[in-house]
Amino acid sequence: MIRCEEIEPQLTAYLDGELEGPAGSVVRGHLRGCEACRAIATDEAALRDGLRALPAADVPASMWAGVQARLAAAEVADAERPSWRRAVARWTPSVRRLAPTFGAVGLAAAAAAALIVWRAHGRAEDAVAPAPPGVAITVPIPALSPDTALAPSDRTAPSFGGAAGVGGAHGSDPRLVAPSDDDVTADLAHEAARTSAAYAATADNLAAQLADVRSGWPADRRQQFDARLADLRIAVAGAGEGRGRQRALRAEIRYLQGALIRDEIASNDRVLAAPGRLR
Amino acid sequence: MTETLADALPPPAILAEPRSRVPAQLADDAELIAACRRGEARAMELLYHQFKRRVFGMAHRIVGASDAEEVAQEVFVRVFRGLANFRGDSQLSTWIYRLTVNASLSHLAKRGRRQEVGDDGIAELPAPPVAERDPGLASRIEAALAALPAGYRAILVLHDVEGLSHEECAAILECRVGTCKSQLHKARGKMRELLGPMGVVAPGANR
Ligand SMILES: [Zn+2]
Repeated sequence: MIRCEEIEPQLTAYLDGELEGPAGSVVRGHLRGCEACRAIATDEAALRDGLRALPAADVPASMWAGVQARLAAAEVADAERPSWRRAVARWTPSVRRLAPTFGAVGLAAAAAAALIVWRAHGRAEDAVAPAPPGVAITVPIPALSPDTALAPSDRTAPSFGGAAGVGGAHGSDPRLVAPSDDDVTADLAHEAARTSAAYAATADNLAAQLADVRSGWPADRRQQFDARLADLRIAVAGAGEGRGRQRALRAEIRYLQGALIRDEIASNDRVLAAPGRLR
Repeated sequence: MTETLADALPPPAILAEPRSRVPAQLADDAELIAACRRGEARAMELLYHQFKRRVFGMAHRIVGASDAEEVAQEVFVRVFRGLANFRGDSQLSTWIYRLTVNASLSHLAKRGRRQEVGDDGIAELPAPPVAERDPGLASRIEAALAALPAGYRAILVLHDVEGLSHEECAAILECRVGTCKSQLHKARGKMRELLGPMGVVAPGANR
């Protein structure tokens, strides 16, 4: 006779139809004879059905307008931030996290202004500040080789493992792997993975910023940069988890920072030449 | 045991809705993404409509009614600004739902763990369709869901509320399928603890 403690852990899979063959019939057989387990199974099935049947929340009609306003506000913020300040922000993601780009403070006012500015400027006149969204990024990306492009979101690919880079360039907070012991996320929240995630997010931030400026570089410099970055990313991908991966990520970060510094120096000239507008 | 209750349920409405709204030439994810990257306003709006219900629904269940719109808007901002870097290694939907779950959990972390969903407007939800079985069940489920640790809430929302497969959930949460399954089991156990014996005979539960 199988004991209840052995049945209970299988009930979820059983109820969801995931136990096949003998495993399923063992549970079914036990449930026929055991009232206590049957009560648990009945409750769990009712719970599952109740969750599935919860009424869907209505999407607020204002939501799309809000998204557009935030996009516009973010782009204006991109454009108005001096390039040296953007560079500093890239290097200090922890500070960025404390002061999110799309914070709610003053958002409404900023958004109202932003929409006006967006309209006034039309689309994509400004090579540094993408408006409307997506336009600027299409400039650098197609030129990159497909496997090694500036593609932070792919830190989340299985080969990288962990919880890294979840938000891609404009995301996200590595701390979101919640710390509670009994959270589902606790399983993902091993320290090494968190540290790697923070590094990966930093690298992603840097890469995203470089994607903005890279299009202004001469072709040979772009190629050199792409090749070097590809190598560094291969090293990251091949490093496995833990310290090796963190070392590889730090190497990538150092290289990206260096590239930004060089770009920064070069772009000072451009800024001085055209003070009102970055071209 | 081949047929389950889940099999008998209709597909989530969101699966049916967007198809009809997306014109044939944009039906493909890749084309939609490309058009959004070019900044085509219509494509962006299509993408928004394709995902708005699930993004908002997930955020709503995880962070509660009052903050859901803010979180969902933030998710779409991240989607549109991050789309250029989306290479398609995972499904577009997986990526977007991952951003949604992460933005929601991140929002909760910022808001402070003690101030969880709680009395966040859950009580105002409309009368549930399961009313004929147990008039109070849906609202009790809502309340219990709100009281769960956020991580458990996330897995329940993805798997049980939204009806995603374990494979999809694992891809979204970036964990192994086995982890996802065991977490779902624990999460349902917590829910049963919170709800107490329901004494509801669900059809087919004890066949
Ligand atoms: Zn038993």
